[in-house]
Amino acid sequence: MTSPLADCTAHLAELEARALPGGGLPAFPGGEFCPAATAWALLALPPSARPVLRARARLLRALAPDGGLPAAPSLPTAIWPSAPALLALLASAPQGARPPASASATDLAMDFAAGPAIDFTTGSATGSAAGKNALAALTHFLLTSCGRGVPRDASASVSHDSTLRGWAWTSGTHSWVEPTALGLLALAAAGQGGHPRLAEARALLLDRQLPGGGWNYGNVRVFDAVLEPNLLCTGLALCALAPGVMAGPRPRARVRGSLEYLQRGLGETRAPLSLAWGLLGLGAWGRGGQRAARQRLLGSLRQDYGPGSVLGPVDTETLALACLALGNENGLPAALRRRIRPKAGSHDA
Amino acid sequence: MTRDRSDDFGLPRLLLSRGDAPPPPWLGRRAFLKGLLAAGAGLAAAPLLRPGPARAEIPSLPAQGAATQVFVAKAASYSADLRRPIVDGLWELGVAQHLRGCSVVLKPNLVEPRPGQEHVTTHPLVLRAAVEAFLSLGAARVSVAEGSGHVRDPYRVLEASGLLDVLREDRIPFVDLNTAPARRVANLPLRSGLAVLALPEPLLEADLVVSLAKMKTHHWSGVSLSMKNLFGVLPGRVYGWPKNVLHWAGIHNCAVDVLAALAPGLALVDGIVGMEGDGPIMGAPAASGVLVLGRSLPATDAACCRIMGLPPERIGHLALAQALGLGNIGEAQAAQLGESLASVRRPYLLRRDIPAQAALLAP
Repeated sequence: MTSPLADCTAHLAELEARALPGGGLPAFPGGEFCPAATAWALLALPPSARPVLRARARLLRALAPDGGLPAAPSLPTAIWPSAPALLALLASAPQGARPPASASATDLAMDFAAGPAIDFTTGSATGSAAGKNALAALTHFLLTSCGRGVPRDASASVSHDSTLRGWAWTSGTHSWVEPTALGLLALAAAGQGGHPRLAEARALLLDRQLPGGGWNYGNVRVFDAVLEPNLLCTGLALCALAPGVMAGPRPRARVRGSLEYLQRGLGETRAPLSLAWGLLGLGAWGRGGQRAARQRLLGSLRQDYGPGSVLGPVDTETLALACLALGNENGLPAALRRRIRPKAGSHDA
Repeated sequence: MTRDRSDDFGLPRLLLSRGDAPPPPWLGRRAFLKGLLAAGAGLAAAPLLRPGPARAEIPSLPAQGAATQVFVAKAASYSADLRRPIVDGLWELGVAQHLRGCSVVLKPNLVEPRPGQEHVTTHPLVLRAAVEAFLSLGAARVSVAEGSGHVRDPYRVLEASGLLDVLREDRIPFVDLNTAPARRVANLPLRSGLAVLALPEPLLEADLVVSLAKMKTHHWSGVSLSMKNLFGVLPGRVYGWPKNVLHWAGIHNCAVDVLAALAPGLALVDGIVGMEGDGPIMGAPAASGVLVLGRSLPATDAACCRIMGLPPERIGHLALAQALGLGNIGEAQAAQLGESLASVRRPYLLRRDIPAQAALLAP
């Protein structure tokens, strides 16, 4: 059996080859810079990979003045890449550029306001002040932005607690599972594990878990119908709730059904993005290995995409997540811990 | 009601009030969109559509007040010959003769596929038949495109719906509209408050966009037919998963805005096995045994409502479309081709505890 790293060597090389001359990576080969794809690629690529510095610089240049990272400059309200970007910048940050673990939201806001302005034209990756400012700005942005709550009433047509605040895909809309899970992971990695927003985010994720196990985009019951889960959202939510991400009791008993759903579901698909998140989620809860699913993921990447395929080339985000999943049997949180310097005050539950 | 927005955007009145003056003859969809984007060039950061190669263009719809045609064919099951009724419908509707050399994009409803549940999403065999029909009539290229609203993994969507096998076997290209390059298009009639809409380039560059919908009830909008199906053209990377922006902006308002902005040339509704009850995901199968085609999405949806035993004038986005001159939903104006509506009518069950459906039941 090949090593996990060997499995994804060719795919890491493919990721590197997609790097743009101006820095960053596109969503698809031949496309324009894509913040989300760049963020995931930065997490997947080893720190020594050739495109990393320029990709990091390109990501810094893409930050909006409010510290968030929109999907494109012309899409200022599509702020969902902010959390993956924070993870990517933390993972690729030079030492000394990270905000202190105990920084409060106020400290971070003052850092952002009072520190040297980020040079958006150069976004120098070697400037520790610029990098530290960007991390502070992104962290502050995530801590101070949230999904739109909806007051509950007795005749609510949806069953979840719509007042819990997580994170949204776009400004001014409701909180949903994927952006909330990513927001929790990113802020925990930034040393904000004790912040009340993260406790609320965890409560939201547990509230959105389906009775039979698993998560979907974020609705549980609509009118009297209990909806069904999907593999991607389940894997991601399990990563966010995994032991070691933040303090507090491990909800192992509460997520057992979700783990079982994911375990079964991975045997029924060749979809690489779902397989990747499924592997990352199971790995985060000590269910790494999953050899058959890993082989299916490799097979899908090699056989189902590329020239002549009706699906075209695999997108960069999926390729990066596949590399992350193949190279990290213990799931996403462990992979992040290896890349990001452990913070004082962060907890391994 | 047609809002005069010439003061708001300085745009020509013709483009603002569709119902007042008929478009020039033979002004096809591509030319219309070029005009819309050119007129909108004054809007900040609204890039122009790249001109495409010269191709045959589909004649525009008749102006408001003229009869709008809907073709209904019986289809007992998905194993029947589905290509023939589609070809027949395209000829009857005056589309077939203009397809040679055209690029066609089929946009199915794959909102949340469920393996083995053929009443949830557009059936793969309907898609196969549609592809075959268009190619047999001389279309140069036929592709399938969708931006699933609930499931972000496009491979999983295709896998769970059964469409992946059909795409592979028939070598049909697929585009994930959630991540495809998109352009900002001026939003007229601006019912939703969204000043611009992001529309995928593969759709803007196609000669013909087909809303290949499923015949379903819907617990928020009453029905999910060819107009509601257009929510799936809007990229998730802009609007989210789900596309919650649209719900906050108003489902009916957004439905008319997207219809006006994209101007699909054809609706094709899979009503062989539709969905009744708690649609669009959790309802029960409803075997109507029909395929419904039309060049006016509001008129086609209105006919589908009558097949389903529902009053189209009570569907918010259909009534709004008519009021804005985007299509006729009145039975008197409809020109029914193929099977009569009475011969295929099969009332769909509604839920009194679902407000959007209860409104359709009231006397």
